[in-house]
Amino acid sequence: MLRLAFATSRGRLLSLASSFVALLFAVALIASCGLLMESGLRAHLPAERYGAAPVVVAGVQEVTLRSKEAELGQSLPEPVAIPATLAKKIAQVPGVTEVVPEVGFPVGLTGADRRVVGRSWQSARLTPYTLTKGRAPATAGEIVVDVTLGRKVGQKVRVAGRDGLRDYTVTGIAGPGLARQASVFFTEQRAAELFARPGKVSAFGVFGEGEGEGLAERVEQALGDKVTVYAGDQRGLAEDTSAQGGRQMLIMLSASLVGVIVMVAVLVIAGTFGLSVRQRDREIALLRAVGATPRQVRAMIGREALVIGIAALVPGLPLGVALGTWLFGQFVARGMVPEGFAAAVSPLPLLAAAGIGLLTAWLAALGAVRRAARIKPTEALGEAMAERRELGRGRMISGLVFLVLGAAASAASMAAAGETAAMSASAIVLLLITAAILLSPWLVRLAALLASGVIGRTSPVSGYLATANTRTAAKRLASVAGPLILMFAFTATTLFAQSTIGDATTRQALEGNRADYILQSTGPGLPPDVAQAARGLSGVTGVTQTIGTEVIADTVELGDPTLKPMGALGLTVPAHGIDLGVTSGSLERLRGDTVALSTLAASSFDAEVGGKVRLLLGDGTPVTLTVVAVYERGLGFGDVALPYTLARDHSAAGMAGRVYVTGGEKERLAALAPGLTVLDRAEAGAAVNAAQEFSDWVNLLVMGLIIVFIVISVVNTLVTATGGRVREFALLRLVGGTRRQVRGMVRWEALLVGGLAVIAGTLITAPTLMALSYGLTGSPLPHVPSLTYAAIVVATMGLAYAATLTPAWKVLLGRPAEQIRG
Amino acid sequence: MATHAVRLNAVTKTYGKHVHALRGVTVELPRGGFTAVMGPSGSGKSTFLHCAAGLDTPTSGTVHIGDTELSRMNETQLTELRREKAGFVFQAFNLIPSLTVTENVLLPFRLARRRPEHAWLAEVIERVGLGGRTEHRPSQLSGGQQQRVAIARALVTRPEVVFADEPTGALDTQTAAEVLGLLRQVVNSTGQTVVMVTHDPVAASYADRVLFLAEGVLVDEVYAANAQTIAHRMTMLGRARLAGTVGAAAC
Repeated sequence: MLRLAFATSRGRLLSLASSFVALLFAVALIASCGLLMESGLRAHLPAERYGAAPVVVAGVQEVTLRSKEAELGQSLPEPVAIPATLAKKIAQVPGVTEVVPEVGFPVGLTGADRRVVGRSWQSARLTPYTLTKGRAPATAGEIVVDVTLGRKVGQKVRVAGRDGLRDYTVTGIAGPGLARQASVFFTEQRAAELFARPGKVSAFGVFGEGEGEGLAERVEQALGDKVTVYAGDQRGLAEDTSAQGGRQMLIMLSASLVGVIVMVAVLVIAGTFGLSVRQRDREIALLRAVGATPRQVRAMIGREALVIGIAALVPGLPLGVALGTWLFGQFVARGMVPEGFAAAVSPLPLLAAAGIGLLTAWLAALGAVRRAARIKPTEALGEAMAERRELGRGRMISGLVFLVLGAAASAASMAAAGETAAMSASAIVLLLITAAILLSPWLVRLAALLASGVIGRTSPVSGYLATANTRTAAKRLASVAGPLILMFAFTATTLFAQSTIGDATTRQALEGNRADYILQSTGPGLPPDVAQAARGLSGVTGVTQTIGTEVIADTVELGDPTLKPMGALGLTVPAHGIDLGVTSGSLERLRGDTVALSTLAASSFDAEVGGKVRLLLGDGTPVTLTVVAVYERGLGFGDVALPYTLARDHSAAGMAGRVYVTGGEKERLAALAPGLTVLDRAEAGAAVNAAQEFSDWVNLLVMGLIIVFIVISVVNTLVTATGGRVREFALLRLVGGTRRQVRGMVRWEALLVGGLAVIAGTLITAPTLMALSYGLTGSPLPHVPSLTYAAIVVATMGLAYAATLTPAWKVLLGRPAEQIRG
Repeated sequence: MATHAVRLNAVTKTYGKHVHALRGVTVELPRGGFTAVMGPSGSGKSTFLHCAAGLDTPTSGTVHIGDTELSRMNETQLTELRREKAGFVFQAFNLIPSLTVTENVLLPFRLARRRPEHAWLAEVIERVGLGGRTEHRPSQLSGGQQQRVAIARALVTRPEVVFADEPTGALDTQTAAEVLGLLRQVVNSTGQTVVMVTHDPVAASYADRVLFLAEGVLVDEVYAANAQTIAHRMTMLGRARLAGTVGAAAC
């Protein structure tokens, strides 16, 4: 039967090619996601700083919520410290010979253009660092620096740390220099002061006998899951807190991408398979009449799909590896994956991708198989096969139900606000798109009816024929309009959701910024002396220190406990130069165990002023805070505002990220400290939110992928639909129509269908964006850049034209007298 | 062993609630006979063919092909029965365009996963006059030649009965005569049973026996009649119908 399937493949090569291309693309994407996931799961960083210690014990850089179904992990943005007392416990583990505590904290070193970490000289042997010149630090004012920092013994250097900008004397130079991070070594006591977490350390380096792995296992057993134990190539992960986050991002992102890809691929390929079956209805009916059982027909279609799937694997897998490697490179370039991570290429994800690819082909073929097996042998008899089934009433009813649901959801989102409204956007778009696709035959008829008068007058031949066709062949045109509507609505929603959020963020940041100058540092932060000195400058009327971080909200969403990361801002009060747009309560009381929430966050927590909320600070410390204020400008400044000291004490560097200054002069502010940038209000803009940028990029990527699938589907449908009209075109020409007139008719049809897609797509997008905008910004007006909108319109119309006119043009090259015989 | 090739007993076929295509047809078609079924459009002659050939199941009554009763069979059983006991020649779209003449003729064997008898295949191909064209594709053949391929395919499995649905409906008079002559000759020389549905009195005149259907009921029959006689009977039928009660019938 399989030979038969392929022997009969002529004439539906296009459908086969579309299925093949779509599957090829799906397999490549799945393989690339597999590669990313594998890279995440097997992520390792060669140890640098901990090169000498076979085993490293550090904090758990993520929090997990143990709900009934699954463990949801959230990675923590700030380094998690562990109790110093663990040293004793580790030392008791059999085989452990020595335990070296490590404290690490970012410091600012004037003139250094890379990450510099402060440590205690006592922990130098973890690398091991050895003195190449000079001697170890003996007093609080002495340091040893990494050889790569290019300092000399005896030189005075200024180091910005948690307690201020201090001068130190370099007493020694240590090597080897490290590529990823340079170290500055203080005395043990001074390092502890700068680390500022009494009774805690960053990590322990564990030395012992035998293999690192065996030792690690024993340490792990002794300490349980309150810490993470690293050995071998994993130790590099302990050196950089962002490594864990990057690793988790790779795993989660690739898993969710695979889900989206399989879903879209199944939908699209089911369409192309379905068309290829529809094209040979009669052939299948004939086979049925002369002795093919329904089972044989099913097997024929099903195996054909599997063979196409297997064929798609051959180029798909290598392409996937290339794509995965490129994506990985992009992640590294965007700082979401730490440098030093390597893309893992192994057969396992490729095997998995092959399996999922074939499963996709099989799932996609199910519908076509079922349909093919239902074809009756009697359908081979008789002369013509008209468009068989009438448009079902069921289709109309379900379409209307979806329409009503979509309308209700968008009305409800206007009644609700904040989070709920924003979240309902995706539901609204799905409901409305489904409604539009179900109702598309009627929409096509309606469009033809409305447009026929105008078009008929403008173009009495081609236009008249086109509208007549559109009315009667509504189902054929609907199968074309459906994917176009989907493409338009999907693209517009994604792009304009981003522009709406982006615009609101920028606007809020601008409106909320009342400072004349903003001070920023090129290093890890601004030490407290900067703010103090700024206060002392003449003309300065207000100084506010802020620190940007992230907290994890411990909330209940739809009845399920959820951990949700939120952008947070620690700020000193009274806040000068920043207006968060407080709507209730007051920021004046933002001290101690208190918090202020954005409107959105308040609705997530379901809290008001005076209430208590639970959250985890950046380093995983759980806190219960009293809400003192609710403010509007969450997008511009972060959804959670913390007292400055609370945010500072749980951040790695412990220094201000930005200092807002009102009054004063730019030059004098710039002279306050070395490595300081002073921004005017106009220059300040929104704080660059790397995470938001990355998620925008990922959204665009996903949108791009889905659009490729939709384009394959649109082209396939359009080309097949037009190619199936050979006889109709031939007849029109035989009765006296010129090629031009027939082409004109096709063009009018394309215009009608494309126009319908644009209008329906716009009508779907509008309520969706309004809900999103209302939820996030409080205003129902989304930000829609007109150029982008025009581009989407042009792309939709262009696709409708190109995919209709090209095959029509080809058909018209033939001789009508021959074509009409079929 | 039954003497009839096909036997219908009180067969009715109703579509929906009100469309009665067959209203109790009882008839026996003997082995080795060439039977034509005639009737105006909507008389139920296509439904008759579908039910007799196991392409469709009757609403009530029984249908036998040889000794096998098929009104209770499911789709797969019916298919296997057709494969073994029935051959088909349709008006148009008889052949898979992408397969060669031989491949089209051998299609039933491929579907049944059976080895073809090569001697018989050669004989059938020779008999229908396609000797030099076995590797041609349908598009390279004339309409008459295409119908010959269909007849070869219908014969190649040595079925109990060959069903032909307007086999000459799309052919010119000369070619139609050749195709009908071929069918006649097959019946004469191999004793093949043939049942043909047609509305053309000339085509029907090739048969041994002509059954007349009107409004789902067998109303008349003639044996070895010429085209003129058959045409006359048809005309009478038309008058009777006009004069009689108006009932809904569809094919």
